[in-house]
Amino acid sequence: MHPLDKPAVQFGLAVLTVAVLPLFLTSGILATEILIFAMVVAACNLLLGYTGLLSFGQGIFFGVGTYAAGICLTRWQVPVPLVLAGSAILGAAIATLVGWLSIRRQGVYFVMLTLAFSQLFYFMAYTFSGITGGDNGLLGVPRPSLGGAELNAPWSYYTYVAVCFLAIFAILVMVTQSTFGRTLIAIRENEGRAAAIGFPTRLFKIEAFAISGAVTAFGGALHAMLIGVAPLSNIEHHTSELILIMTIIGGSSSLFGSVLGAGFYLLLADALSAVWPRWLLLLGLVLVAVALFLQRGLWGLVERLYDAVLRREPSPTKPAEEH
Amino acid sequence: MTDIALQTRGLGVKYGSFNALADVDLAIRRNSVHSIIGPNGAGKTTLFHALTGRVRASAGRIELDGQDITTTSDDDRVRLGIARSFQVTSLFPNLTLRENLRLAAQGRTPWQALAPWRRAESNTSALAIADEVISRLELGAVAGRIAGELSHGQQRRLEVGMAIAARPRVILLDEPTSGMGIDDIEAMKELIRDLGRDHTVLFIEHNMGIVMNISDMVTVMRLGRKLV
Repeated sequence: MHPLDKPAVQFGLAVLTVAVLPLFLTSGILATEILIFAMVVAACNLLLGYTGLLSFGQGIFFGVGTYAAGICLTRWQVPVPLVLAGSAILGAAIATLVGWLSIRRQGVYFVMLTLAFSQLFYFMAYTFSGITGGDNGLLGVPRPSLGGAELNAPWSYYTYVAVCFLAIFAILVMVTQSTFGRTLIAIRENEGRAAAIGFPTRLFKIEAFAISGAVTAFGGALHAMLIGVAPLSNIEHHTSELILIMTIIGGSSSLFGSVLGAGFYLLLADALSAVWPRWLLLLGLVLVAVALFLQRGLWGLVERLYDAVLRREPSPTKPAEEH
Repeated sequence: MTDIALQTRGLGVKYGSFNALADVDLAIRRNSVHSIIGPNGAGKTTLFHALTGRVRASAGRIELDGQDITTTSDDDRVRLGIARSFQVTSLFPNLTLRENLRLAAQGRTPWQALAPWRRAESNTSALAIADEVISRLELGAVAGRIAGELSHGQQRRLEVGMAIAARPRVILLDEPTSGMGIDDIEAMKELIRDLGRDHTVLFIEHNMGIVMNISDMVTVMRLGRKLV
């Protein structure tokens, strides 16, 4: 294991991110958005990096969390902690369903199935506008209050999200370090062998989906509270794409890579959109560059830099430690 | 308890309309070394696939210690005590040798591994089994190495070790010596002979020297059928 992949280091880097963002960013909203996407992207990484499943379903779970928060907060004034827990449970349930059906096929067909579900849920949200607000979404989603104080100021909501982010990140680190997480890696490495040594691999994949869906929906709920709206765009397949792109840019070999991916994408988008309205074109070029030259993403670059500066001899063979 | 560990009656496997295996009756005695020989395409590996549940039998019955396991899934059969090694080395190439064996030992109690809060190291018995297999295979010096970086002979031994780590009653070895050098073959021969003392070993082999040397019983197959 690379020294930077140690769980304590990963969590330390997450804490550092939370502490550093307010020092460098003037926009609390942007900083909060980075943390929300960081957890959502890390959840996608659990599927892509750890289990080897490229899922276009992440937007479904994100949108489901967004709508759950929108509906519960604008219509019924449910307490926010309950809304977050409920979103996570609902996200897990829907991800279980989507996962259970999708993993029946492998490779391209699996990807197509998740894409099909993504479209299905989008059109459901569009069609049942009585519940979801259709094209307009649900407006006026309030932010949470803590001990009577409303967290309306961007930086106070940032603090709230930061605590959630660290808790979620810690849980994901624990999951990846657990015997479950290590079995997922085995399934990614060689599914046939994992089944031959006795693991019911489908069940493991479904559980990975459920955890990923829970975290993604949780992030979706936080996002609705951040922007004050539960928009239709959060359940679009574009959101799935966005989450996948961030995961790939960040690198799928470590959870903190996902934080880097989310941060890099959102900061770059923020900077580029200020100079050119067609900034997505430039972002496309960045993705091409990552795919061609940085196959392990930004995290791979960080590891290489670390090896070059601190370890002197970045041997191609990994050190003899347990994974 | 009968003296027969694994038995098939009229076992058949079809791939589409092709009969890969037909009418195979086998009786494997407990704690014996039983080898299967035959030319390429004789259905030996298909027989293994059927016995381990990787492919479903289209005819006949399979019994493990008298219990019908014909429709039991492959992972359930591991828990019942059938483990196998593969003809083409099939490891977790980016994980260490010890982690490969730990996973194989954990595979016997996979439900435990579904708990995402349980640390892998908390399953001390799986770690102990992994270490025991490492010393049995004499691979202690490379236990921390990535499996993909091991020599071919070491990988083949690990391949067999993966089957041993599942603590099976019946162990199926598919050409364990394929591609091995002469020294390695000798070590593998000893290992199989040794395994026969406390396991029921069924193995496919092309090297007649080994077959004649260590087998208690030989089955010859040809064109998907049992000849002798």
